[in-house]
Amino acid sequence: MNRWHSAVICFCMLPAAVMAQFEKKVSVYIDAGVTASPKSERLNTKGQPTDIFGAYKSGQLVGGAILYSLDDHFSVGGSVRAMRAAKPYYSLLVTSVGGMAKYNILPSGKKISPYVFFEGNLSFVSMGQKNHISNYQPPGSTADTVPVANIKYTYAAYNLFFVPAFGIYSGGGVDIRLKESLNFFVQAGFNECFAKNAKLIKANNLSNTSNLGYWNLVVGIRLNLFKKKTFY
Amino acid sequence: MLPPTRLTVNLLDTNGSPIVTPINVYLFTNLTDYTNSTHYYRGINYLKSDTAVNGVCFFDTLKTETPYYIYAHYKNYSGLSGGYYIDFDNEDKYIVDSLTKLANGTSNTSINLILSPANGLVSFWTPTANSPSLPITITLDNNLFGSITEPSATTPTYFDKTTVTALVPKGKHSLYAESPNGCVWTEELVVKGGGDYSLELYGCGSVNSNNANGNGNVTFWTDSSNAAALPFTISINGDTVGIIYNTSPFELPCFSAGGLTVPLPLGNYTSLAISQTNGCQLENNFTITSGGCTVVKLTTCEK
Repeated sequence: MNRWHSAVICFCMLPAAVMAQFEKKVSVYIDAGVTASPKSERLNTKGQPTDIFGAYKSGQLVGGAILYSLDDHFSVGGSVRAMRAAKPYYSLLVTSVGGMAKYNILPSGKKISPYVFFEGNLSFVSMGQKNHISNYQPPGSTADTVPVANIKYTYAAYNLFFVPAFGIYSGGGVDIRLKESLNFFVQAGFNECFAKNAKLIKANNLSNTSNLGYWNLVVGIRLNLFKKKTFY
Repeated sequence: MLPPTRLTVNLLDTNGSPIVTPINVYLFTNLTDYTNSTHYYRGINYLKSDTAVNGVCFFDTLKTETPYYIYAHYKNYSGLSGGYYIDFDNEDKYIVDSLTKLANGTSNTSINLILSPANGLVSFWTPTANSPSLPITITLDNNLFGSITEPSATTPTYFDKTTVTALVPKGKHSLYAESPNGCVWTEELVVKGGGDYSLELYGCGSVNSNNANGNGNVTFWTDSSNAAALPFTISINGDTVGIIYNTSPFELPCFSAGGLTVPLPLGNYTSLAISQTNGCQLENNFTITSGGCTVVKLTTCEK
């Protein structure tokens, strides 16, 4: 069984988990925020980028999730997310679906409850490159090597759509209870998408050796849809 | 639209100016063919060749996975005594390993190939006082260079019948000369490209240099404080004269193998050492005296 089959089965099992825990609290999360990628774009000795996902300007992120509380601390569920970012000559759109687990360090019913979370996801990376020219002057040559005056790269435009890649997302945040059915939350995390070996991305970016990684900071609301049922 | 990968070769003289003379440029895939070509001053078993026009030529459709060896050569008036035409080539810098390609687009790698004099003019003569030693048979690097059959009362010109003169590749050479009466002359000669050397086989076993370009020497060296900055390109009054690849834990005297020794006419000079690693520069002033040798130590180079 390959990774795809595993992911599909896990995703399909989520509704079953929902039914089994139906008497527990169900929460819907909606959030929006900003992203940040590594500041500089690393180059190899020939002036080609080894981190094509680096140096993007701050992007935008929207997301949502449905989580089911297993107890006052632990909840599991599914999420969807979309982020976009751009830098000169390049654009990036990443959409993802995933399964996540959340652990509230203090009981989730408290007024303020910090938490941590972890998510495994399947991302779909869309990226575009525009026509442009880049000139690179390598540093000094070695003993017997003819010095290079300049390498002129003429990049041709391309667009890639929804290239699949697995990823992980983890971080932490704080739940702030406004009323019984409504929470406000602030959350920060890092998303690592293992895209460097995706066939299309590799074929179009020969020098790249880096995955897609970005920080994000979001704020959102949590709607508590079902009241928790107590059997004791 | 350019081909996916292009190598542009700019042919420059030692002053950095384009060489307008049409010049054949050769690319090799192995070092042996390159070395053979430098020996015979022509391209042998080359992969591709092109003729540079106004100092520029191109090579297309090259693979990017392997290094190439490049050779360009031409003859030009040397300006040396006697009007010799000497060879110019790029023997010091010959590896091209910067070719690269893009998945989407083209790359054009421009290299600067500096052609410098590949040989110097070397002449031997002997004074009248040495007549009993004639003829003197001269070998250079174990190859017969010629025989001096007549003495000269004064320093002769290069074309005088009392001299033995030829172009010699730049670098170190071992001189061995002998006469029928048992006199032997031995010397290690350092020939600078474009230099001219009139060497007097004086007395028995004594070699005096009284040429215009070889009245003295300077030896450059550096210690381990500059290990991270190696190698250093050395230029004197703007002309590149060589490269220092090693450091020495000890003070080096003149002519030491770990240093760079350059023959020079009398006078005052300014040298510039430039690190090929971090670009730091060291400037030194020195004086060449008759028959003397000046040692220049490169102090710690910080950028």
